[in-house]
Amino acid sequence: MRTSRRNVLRWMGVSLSLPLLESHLAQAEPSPTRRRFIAAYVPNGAYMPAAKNGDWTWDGALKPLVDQGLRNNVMMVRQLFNGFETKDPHWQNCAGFLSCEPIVLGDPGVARCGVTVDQIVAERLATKIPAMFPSLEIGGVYYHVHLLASHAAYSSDYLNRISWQAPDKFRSPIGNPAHLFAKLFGGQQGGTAQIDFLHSRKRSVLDQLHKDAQRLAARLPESYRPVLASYMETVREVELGLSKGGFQCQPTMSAPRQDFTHPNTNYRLRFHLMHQMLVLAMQCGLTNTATLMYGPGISADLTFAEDLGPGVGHHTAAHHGGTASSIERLKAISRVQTGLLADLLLKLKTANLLDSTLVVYGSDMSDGNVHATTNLPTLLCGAGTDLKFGQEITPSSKRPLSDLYVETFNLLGMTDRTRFGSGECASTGQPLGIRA
Amino acid sequence: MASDVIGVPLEDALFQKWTPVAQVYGFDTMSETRIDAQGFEEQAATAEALAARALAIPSLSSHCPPLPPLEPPSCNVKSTYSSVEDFSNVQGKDCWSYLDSDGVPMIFDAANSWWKRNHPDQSPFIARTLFHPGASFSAVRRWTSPVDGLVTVSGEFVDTDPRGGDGVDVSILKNGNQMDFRTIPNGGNAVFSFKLTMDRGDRLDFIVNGKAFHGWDSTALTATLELKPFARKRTWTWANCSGALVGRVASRAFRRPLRPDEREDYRALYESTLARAAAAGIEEPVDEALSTTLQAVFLSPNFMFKPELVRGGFNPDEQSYGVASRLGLYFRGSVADEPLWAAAASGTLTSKTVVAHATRLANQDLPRFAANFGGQWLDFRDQRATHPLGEDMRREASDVFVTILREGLPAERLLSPGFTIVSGPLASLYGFSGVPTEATAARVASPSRGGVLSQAHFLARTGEGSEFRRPIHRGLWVLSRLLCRPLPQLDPATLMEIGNSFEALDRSRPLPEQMAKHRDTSTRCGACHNQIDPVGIALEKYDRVGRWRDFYEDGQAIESTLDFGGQSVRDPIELTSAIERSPEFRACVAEKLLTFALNRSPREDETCWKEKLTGPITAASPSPSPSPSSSLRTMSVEALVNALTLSEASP
Repeated sequence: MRTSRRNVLRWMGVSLSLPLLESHLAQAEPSPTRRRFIAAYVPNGAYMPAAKNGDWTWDGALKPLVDQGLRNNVMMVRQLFNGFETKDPHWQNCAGFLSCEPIVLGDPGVARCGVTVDQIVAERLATKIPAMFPSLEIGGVYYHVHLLASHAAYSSDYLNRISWQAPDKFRSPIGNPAHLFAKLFGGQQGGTAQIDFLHSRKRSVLDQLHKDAQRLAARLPESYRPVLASYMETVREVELGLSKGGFQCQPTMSAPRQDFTHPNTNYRLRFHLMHQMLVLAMQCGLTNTATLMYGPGISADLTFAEDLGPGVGHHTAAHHGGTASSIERLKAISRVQTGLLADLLLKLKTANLLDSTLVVYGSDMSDGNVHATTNLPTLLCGAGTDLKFGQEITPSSKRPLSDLYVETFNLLGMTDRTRFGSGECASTGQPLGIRA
Repeated sequence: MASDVIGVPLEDALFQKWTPVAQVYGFDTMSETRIDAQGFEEQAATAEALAARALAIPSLSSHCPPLPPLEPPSCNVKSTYSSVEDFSNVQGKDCWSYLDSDGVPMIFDAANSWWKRNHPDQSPFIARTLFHPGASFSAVRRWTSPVDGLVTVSGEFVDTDPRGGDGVDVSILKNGNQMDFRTIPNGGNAVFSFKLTMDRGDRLDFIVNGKAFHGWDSTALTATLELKPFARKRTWTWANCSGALVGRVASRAFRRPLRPDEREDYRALYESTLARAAAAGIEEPVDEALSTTLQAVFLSPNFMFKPELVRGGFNPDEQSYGVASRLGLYFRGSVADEPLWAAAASGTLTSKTVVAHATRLANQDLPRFAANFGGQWLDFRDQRATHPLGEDMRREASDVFVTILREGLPAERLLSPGFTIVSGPLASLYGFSGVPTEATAARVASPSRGGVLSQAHFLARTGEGSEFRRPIHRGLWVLSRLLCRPLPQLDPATLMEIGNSFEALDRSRPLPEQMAKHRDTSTRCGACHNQIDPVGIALEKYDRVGRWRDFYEDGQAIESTLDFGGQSVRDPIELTSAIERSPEFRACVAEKLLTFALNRSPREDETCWKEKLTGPITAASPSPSPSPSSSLRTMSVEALVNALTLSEASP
């Protein structure tokens, strides 16, 4: 509650000093200047031996951002931790990156985590600013088979998703730019009668699936129902999507045609295109919230060979064991990733969206070599003199990542969200000191 | 699996985003997983592609009425033809031709912009709108149907020159048979409107004849023809074709016959789609209705999930189909094959014949079982190449596994088969002589290679990365895959210690010495590393890609003094024989097989089956297997048969 009252006062202060600010006066409830949110995730941390700062500095991993003149749009927030003692952070801090809730282990067929920041923001924003897609999830690579038999109880779902709409409902990222293009801008071809027919055809298939699922659920034991319930929910969601319309956006780009079937092919291009589409979608008001996975948890397959030449996968490089060549590789990988962030920020800036957008960039670990989850490499990006952009914030003690998310809610006008995360990851209610 | 359902091979790329092949306990044969809207969209697209593929398979529709031959349209297909607007100086353009009453094509007179006879008597002519008959010949405008279809003909003849003459006779003929005949008085007209079905190549002639006198007989024709081509499959109905086609695909997909209510649902879905598609002007409504119905089949939870693994999922009278499906999933990674299906249908799949079928499948589908079970257990299904010879290495692992199954060798031989199967380049990596460079799979007797622990596939995959990672990674792999030994979770305090220990290392010392220091830092570290390190360090005799070596690059000798389970394991040979002899290994093989068969981990109270599996096979189980005792293949049959009784007995 303390946080909330402080924010109300702050809004009053703004109104008093700028009494003619029409946008605020015109609305009963003051609307925040920041009304867009993007979270970007990279796995395996950075080169931060023993969870100290290591390469995570302005002239180290963040150099690509500085080189693009973005230093004053980026704030380094130190001392943050995330994760739960008994859960391997590869899984826990991927699924829990934006929820700070524990994952549930045991039956890999049933993935369960917590509702994530982006989904909370999306739901709230949708009540104020209508958007065709309350949130967009963007990624590049999926795991379809379980990675390590030694982690039998860990569902791969935890490595594939950072967005959770409900504890048992993840949202998969779109991996192919062409698919994202079709989703955002692709209208159906043909005459009205044919489009109507295609819609009715889809709807009748969905009706049938719903019927199948209901019948099946009635036969199976209780323990099986959640899986079918979530299947039915998905069917319903797709059905709702069919009847949504009325948003138009003319893309200023053509549909991507490059090969994106292999994660290492066109890796950088994939995300550059996705960024372009995301910024377009935000300009058109198609969406206000997005998450980006620059790689799935572990990212064993990603070699970054296009930029760095052939070499070991990301996960192998992260377990560097002090070997110089692996460390160099890991540092170079970090720069490719912060380079992606630089591309996103530049595109937002060019589109005049950076003022109204908050971007959180972070990872599941700091020192991937030993799976350390303290002093996580975390960035808060945006624009405005009210926040300490361009600086390094170092709270006096170790703080949960959820504290940053509470600040984020505040900055997006959600002053009632004063708590986040649970257990050892629960927010403290103390400010991080990110405000100027 | 889908390729067995529809009966043609399908490329893997089609299933890149297919979710239900899930990830359970290290084996992804079949399971349940969640699917969200994004995943569903991708899956719906795959299902549509599958349906299209199914429709293209002739055998699936061999019971349907034969289709008319597929011919290209004989001229331009349009929905509307107009005698006036389509008029041109080219015969046959837009299906119109211009003839005299003998059927001889006219020639175009560019000066007058009309068609006339190539003959001294040029009196009949055909202009854009006007016709004019001649003294002994009349003029014929002919429209030839480009396809089979329904044609709606409407229009009007007008005698446009009332200054004289005695009027005209006009007629419309289909293939020479009169459809309409009128006599128009001078200055009069005749309106016509009718529908007729026409086959491809059928002719419709519009003719003007003079009566007694052909002067002042200029006659205007405005004819409009609306063509609705017939769908090729218009004779296919639910009853004579589509019902059986859907039933066949769906029963394979659901791994049991369709239930009456499902059959009725699909019929309704089919009929309503068919009607709507026809109304929307879709070219082949039957295809549309079929593909819609099949898409619903491929997206159904009955296909995506496996209810037969759960009590109540199948009806009591469907249980034999459930057993057939379990056999199919286990041995084929797919649906039951025809003999199994037939046995389930005839009710002859009893506990006795199950063993016979299992044994039959263990032989017949051995490569599939090897790829699905062995490939997931020992990682050789994973085709990510980490080395230029990666594919050759993977092939060795796979070929040796297949051979051990095929020759009925016991599971221990996975560790020391006494032979290996290598390509030329891989042979030279191992230092073998006598294998030609171009060989792809040469079987070579070898006391030291061929076993899982000496295969480059395992050694190179785990050999990547830092010097420290290699022995640890190799040790962990052996503990989890070959010994089923769980290790404690890493808690933050341990992680902190690991971090600190790295800083305390003296990197100028030999690796085993550094690891010993690491291990001895505390009991916490030792808890795991006392198990991991003896295995990993024994395997240091293999370099990062699997070549044998006695010295590190800096010249230091590679030696280990560590014990593993009370046995000296100084090198890979000692390690192999220690694992081979350990009951833990045999129990682990049994556990992996049971997990694969049950689609879940065996519970504590089920572990007695593990011991049963590792012992010699009981006399009660008939097995034509050539091996006298528990070969890996016999174990695989036993595991499945046991799993069937286990899951039946448990709630």
